[in-house]
Amino acid sequence: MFEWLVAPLRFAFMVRGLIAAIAVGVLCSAVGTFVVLRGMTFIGDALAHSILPGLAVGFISIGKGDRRGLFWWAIGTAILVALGMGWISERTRFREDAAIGIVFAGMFALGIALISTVRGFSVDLVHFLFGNVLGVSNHDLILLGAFGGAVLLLLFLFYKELVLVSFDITLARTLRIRASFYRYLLFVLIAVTVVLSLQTVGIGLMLAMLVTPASTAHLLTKRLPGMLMVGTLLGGVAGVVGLYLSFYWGVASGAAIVLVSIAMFLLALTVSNRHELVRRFRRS
Amino acid sequence: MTHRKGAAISKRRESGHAIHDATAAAVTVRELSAGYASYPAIVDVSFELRTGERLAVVGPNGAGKSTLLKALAGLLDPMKGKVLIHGHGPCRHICIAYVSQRNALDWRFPITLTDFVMLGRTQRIGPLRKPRSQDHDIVRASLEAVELTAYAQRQIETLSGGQQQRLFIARALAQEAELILFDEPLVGLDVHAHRELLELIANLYRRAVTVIMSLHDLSIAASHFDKIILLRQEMMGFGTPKTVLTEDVLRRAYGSCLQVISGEDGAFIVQDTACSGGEHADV
Amino acid sequence: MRIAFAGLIACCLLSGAGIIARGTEVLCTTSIVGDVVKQIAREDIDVLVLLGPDTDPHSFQLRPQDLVALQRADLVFINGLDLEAGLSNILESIDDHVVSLSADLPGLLAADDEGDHGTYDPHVWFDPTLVSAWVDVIAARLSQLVPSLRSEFQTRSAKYQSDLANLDAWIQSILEEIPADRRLLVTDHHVYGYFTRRYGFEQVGTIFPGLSTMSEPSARELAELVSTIESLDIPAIFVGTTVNPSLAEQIASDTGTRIVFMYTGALSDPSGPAGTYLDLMRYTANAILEGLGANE
Repeated sequence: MFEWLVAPLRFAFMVRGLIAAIAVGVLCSAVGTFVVLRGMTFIGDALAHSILPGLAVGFISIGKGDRRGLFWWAIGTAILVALGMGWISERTRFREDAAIGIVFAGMFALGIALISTVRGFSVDLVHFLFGNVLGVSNHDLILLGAFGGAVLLLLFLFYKELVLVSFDITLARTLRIRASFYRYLLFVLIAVTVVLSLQTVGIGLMLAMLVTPASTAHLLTKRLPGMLMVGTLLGGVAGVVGLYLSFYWGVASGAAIVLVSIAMFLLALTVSNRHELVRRFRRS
Repeated sequence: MTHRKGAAISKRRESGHAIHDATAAAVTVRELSAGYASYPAIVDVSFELRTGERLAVVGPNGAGKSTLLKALAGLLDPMKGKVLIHGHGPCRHICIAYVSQRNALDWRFPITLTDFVMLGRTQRIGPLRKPRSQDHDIVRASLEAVELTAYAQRQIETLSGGQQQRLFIARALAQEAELILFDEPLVGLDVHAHRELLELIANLYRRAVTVIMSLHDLSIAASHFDKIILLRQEMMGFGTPKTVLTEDVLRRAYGSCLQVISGEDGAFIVQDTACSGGEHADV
Repeated sequence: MRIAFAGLIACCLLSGAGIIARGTEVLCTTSIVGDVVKQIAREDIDVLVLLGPDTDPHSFQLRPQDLVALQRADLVFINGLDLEAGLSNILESIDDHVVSLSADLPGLLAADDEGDHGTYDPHVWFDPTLVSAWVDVIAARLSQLVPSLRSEFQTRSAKYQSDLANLDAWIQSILEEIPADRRLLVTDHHVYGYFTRRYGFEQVGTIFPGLSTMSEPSARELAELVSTIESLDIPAIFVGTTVNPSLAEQIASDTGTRIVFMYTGALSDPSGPAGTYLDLMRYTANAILEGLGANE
């Protein structure tokens, strides 16, 4: 009877994929809650592109060697970039969205320039460097566990300070809480989450998981702790359901997971607006 | 005391807060100049306040009222002069509450009234710790004091303007603030809400809380506040309402934005609030 | 002002002289095409290659100097059959200079599924007899371009075609060792259609569906591949060097097969094991022999 549930688990790549999808779903949703509430939803895309120069340099230095070393180049660059974005939005007249955009544009262009000068690899860097949920290795799972766990732990430990700094930074300053430190911390947590997800499950899935489950949770719950819990649950569930769909219906895995989370969002949208919709329907 | 020009927000980290100097006045301002970029929005302001006093900050648009409040809160470093709260610079204190204009906050943020007020206790709870039962008790009591207990579990987006201001006061109480600075809190509130708010503020006196509020309405300033400071970049007057709100002083501050109507009981001074009296925009 | 004017005139004269002094130039898209053309053209004609070693023809992006080279070349030899789909716009604009080596060849295979390519599988170079047909086309067009060298071109083509025939025979013979039930290839992409037809093999599974490097497999397709590998006892997976090997690596480690790296769309650099077309084919045959023969 539960054969259909268990059948995919006979394949090792499915087991690893499920673990990765759940881990990424949970991690991205948790961090994504802050991303959505602060209106920084395009930071995932911006960071993914901004790490290109670091990846290019790393690729040049590693060459045909162990590709896993690229992860450290990626995460190092991402942290620097995140701190840069934080610095610009703190010290200059630019707000966060402009700071993110400026760094994104500059770094991406630098990356392209670096790649084009070293003609040796016209390899499609994007496909080469970004992961795929079905191609997750045990090493990737360890990285996910270690770094992902660290991110979630820091989120838990500094929860109230991060919320305060995201919602009312003036209060943070009058309370003499080190607002700058927590802002930078949040940027760094987002950066680590983005790179981790990028390298393990790829860009499409990362972007979707960063924003969609948290947005869905926002429609369904009114309190922030609730939003975090519902978001992470939805993220994990989308991962599992998506992979099962990919297994039984032959849909590309990343796309399947994304579509499931979008479907959840649309459902939540309908449910939360049901009174409005019923009213309009009655009128017509 | 740093003299960094134009430092927008003070970044000094102060852990724990200074013990109040019992001999010092609650608020001491000496020859204060403060502002943004390279020029000061307020110049050479000096006054003193005792604990529990209520000060109204009035003046035409662009007079520098917000700037003064921010300097008092420790959100702006002085360019010249000194600010002392209970004998120490504002950054040494965590008992100062700054209530900014209502529209500065995202009211759709998913947070209940209780959690909002709990934010005021963040520093007291300390990093890495969660709220304890005493924190919950203080939050409950604070909401009670402003008569918002019925809404404790509601979202902040359901509140009216007057309720929002009361919520800020609740948070300031939870913060155990001893100085509360209000930046134009009466804007957009109806007369009933005005009254409620001002009554609440009057009661703060019993808690030894000093209140400083910027407003436009001179009659409210005259009737509800112990002292008034009249600003127009410079300090045009400081003292009790009677001494400050004279025709002479007001003319100097508001210039052509005033009408004097002579009546039986004396002169009525009508203010044109839409008139811009200052050169610099009030930030 | 006068100096600038004089400088400008000097530049024009020099570039004019440059144009007049330039020899006949021929451009090839892939390094494989380039190598074959070079065998015929040798030093008599400048042969430029657009896609260097280790470059994936599916995801190539042109730089401005490439565009200039394309415009300037007297002839542009392409593999054809939409292998260079990314360059189709530019190629259309210089249509009369473009020679598609694979178009109109007899015995073209239908594409397995659409992908970005047209109706035919473009990986014709894996069959030396088809490359032999390329040689005829090359010799004919080069002779049209430089008629004075016609007899040289013919001599060289004949020589190269005999080399190709020898290569073909050699591949047949060394692959004879592999018994019928082991003549099964699992690859990352469907590139060996012509090879398997010529030498009696079968492509039983690919990691990426379709012919292009751009598609993504579903969990079901991967599960089917794993089942196929296990039930047929496949010993090796043959993987190109231009694609992210992480999927292949995981499947290989899950099923206990080896990964064998192949040169599929481009030659290696000259010092590597597949610096010429002949070397590429020898490398391919040896790799298949080693991969499939290893697990006895």
